[in-house]
Amino acid sequence: MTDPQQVFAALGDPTRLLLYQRLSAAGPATATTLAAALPVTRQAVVKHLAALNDAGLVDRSRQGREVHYSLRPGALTETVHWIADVGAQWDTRLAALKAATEGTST
Amino acid sequence: MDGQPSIERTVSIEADPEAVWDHHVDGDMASLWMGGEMHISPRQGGDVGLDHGDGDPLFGAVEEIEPGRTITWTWRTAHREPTQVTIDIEPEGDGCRVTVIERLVEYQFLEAPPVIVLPFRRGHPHLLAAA
Repeated sequence: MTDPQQVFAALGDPTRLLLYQRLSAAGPATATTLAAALPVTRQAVVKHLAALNDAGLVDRSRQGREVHYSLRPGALTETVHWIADVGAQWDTRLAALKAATEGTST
Repeated sequence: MDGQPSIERTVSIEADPEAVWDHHVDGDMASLWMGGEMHISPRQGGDVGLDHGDGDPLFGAVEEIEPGRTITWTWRTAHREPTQVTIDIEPEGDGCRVTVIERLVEYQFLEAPPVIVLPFRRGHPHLLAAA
């Protein structure tokens, strides 16, 4: 399961957001291909991909001597769900608070 | 704000602000609307807990309190990262306006697997001391 906190922290970095968008637009890629397409060193790309992997946003798979990175399906959805769930919970609670207090203090 | 994901909700209530406040700081009254069994010690550093009956209760501590006006606590479950809840009650006409903000607290253990994170009260003493 992804942690919303970690997802937001991971995507808060401009380079990682760029990498994420690149993987989203162009599909699975190696760190070398990504570094060639972006104004970042391969070393930096590897480091940022590791952070995206830790956050559960990106999967890595070894194919021969190459490591391929791809987006993990549904990872962002969980984060969006967090916001929706917490918001909905307070909608329900505040409606109940209103019902419990209005009319009782007259 | 520090850019952490958060939600904000506001509701106008036609009831005495004091009665609305009491519904936040009295566990029995809070349990009427919080969606579970609520426990709260309304003082700085006091315990806060909410049991939805789903086996993953929220627990934490009060960080800031200004009686009648505002209360902030941070809580978490055994499986979820901490969030901070701030409730403000402002007088409005004959009633009041309640604003709730819940936000994720900055992730503290980016390099450690979540399973070794200790329970809130022992694992995040800096959060308790920060208030």
